[in-house]
Amino acid sequence: MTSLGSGKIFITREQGEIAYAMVRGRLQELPEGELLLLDFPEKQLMDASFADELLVRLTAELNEDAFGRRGLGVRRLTQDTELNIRAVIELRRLDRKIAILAIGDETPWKIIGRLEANLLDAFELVQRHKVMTAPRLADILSVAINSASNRLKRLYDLHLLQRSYKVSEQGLEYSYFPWA
Amino acid sequence: MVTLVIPNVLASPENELERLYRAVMAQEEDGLYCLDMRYVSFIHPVGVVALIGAARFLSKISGQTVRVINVRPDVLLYLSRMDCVSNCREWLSFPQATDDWARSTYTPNLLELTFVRDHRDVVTVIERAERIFARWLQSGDVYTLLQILSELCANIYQHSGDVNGCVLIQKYDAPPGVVVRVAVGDSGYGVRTTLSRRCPDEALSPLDSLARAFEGYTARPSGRGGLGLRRVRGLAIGTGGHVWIRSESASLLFSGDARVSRNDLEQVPGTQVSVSFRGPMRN
Repeated sequence: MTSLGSGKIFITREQGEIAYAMVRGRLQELPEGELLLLDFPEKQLMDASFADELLVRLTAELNEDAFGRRGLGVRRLTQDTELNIRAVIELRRLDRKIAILAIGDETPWKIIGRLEANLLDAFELVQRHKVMTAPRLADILSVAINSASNRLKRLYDLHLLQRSYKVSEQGLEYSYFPWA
Repeated sequence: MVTLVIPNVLASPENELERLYRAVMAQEEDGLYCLDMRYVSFIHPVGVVALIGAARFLSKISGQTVRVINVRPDVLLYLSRMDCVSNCREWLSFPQATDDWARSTYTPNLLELTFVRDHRDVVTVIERAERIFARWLQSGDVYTLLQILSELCANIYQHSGDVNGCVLIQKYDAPPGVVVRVAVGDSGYGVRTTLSRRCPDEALSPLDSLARAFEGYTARPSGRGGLGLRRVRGLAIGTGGHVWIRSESASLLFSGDARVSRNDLEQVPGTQVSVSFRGPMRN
């Protein structure tokens, strides 16, 4: 977990650039398969420029696999900050292209950003069941395995889930699970 | 001595400020200027910004401080309370006020004129605004105000090139809620010059530049930026407020679904922004 200092004001793009450089370095130092959790102070103020420079930028780069199989999450964002981040994602026209992991209230993780409903459903199910495969998801949702597989893969590509695999008689089988 | 009579436009809709700018920007003489404020009965924050901008221009061409005369006592007290009298001595000379309002660091209705020169000033403005307006606004609206302030103030010191860019805020009762007016202004480069650094080969008009600023264009070499004004617009309009921006000879006004542009204004250096937003009174 990384704390972003003792103050609660996170504003301006220039400060966001400084934070971006610091967090980027921390992310690169992590072993693959691990997630960097950014811990924000309670009742923080974050403006759009800072959010864009730090969180949206890093998440977009994460999704481009700039950091391999590492993850990024946030903790203790206020509702106002989350709304602000959603607005930034929308202004950047990155709806459905990026989403930010946040520690949830009732679930381990929740998503900040707008994803298709079927992806959100799949994400919730993985959280609930702890581990999920495409056949199992297909069965739960009564959809084709292909469709279930695509949804899980998409969440994986967005760095919202991890996965492992095994080779079975049926071939390569992926299991998807939340970040620890 | 040249005396300019200021029309009663300092609390009117922003486009009315052109009557002031037209009178001021036509001046070329080198000599003592006076601003006669006999007709000014009320001032909004954007009116203070306009007054300061006018004084800075006249002071620059004349090499002298601009005298202010015939100010109504309540107007003078307001300007004094806004710290305009004490902070603008370099450009404006006001008559002595006969009374003084009781000063409280945590005055509930306004944030005095504050120059924004670096990031620390922005933080100071935000912290002070939070203390002041948390008394009146619900927490979500306080957050809205602070975000608007952050973005507008950052633009001053990051883009204007003017060390005397400033911000003011005033809260007004508008039962059953409140209206908060924020104004920022500088006499710096202007939006067109700032944006042209990234598009040097494009001949942007002042109005084109303003439009681009709201479309996400950025002056930053990194190419990342251009969100601030759009976010401010979204926040203000979302509450039923408005955003007005003026730079050089153009202006844009956003209110509800309406967008009003003008490109026939008096050439005034720098950029001035006025934002209003509405919110319910805090319980």
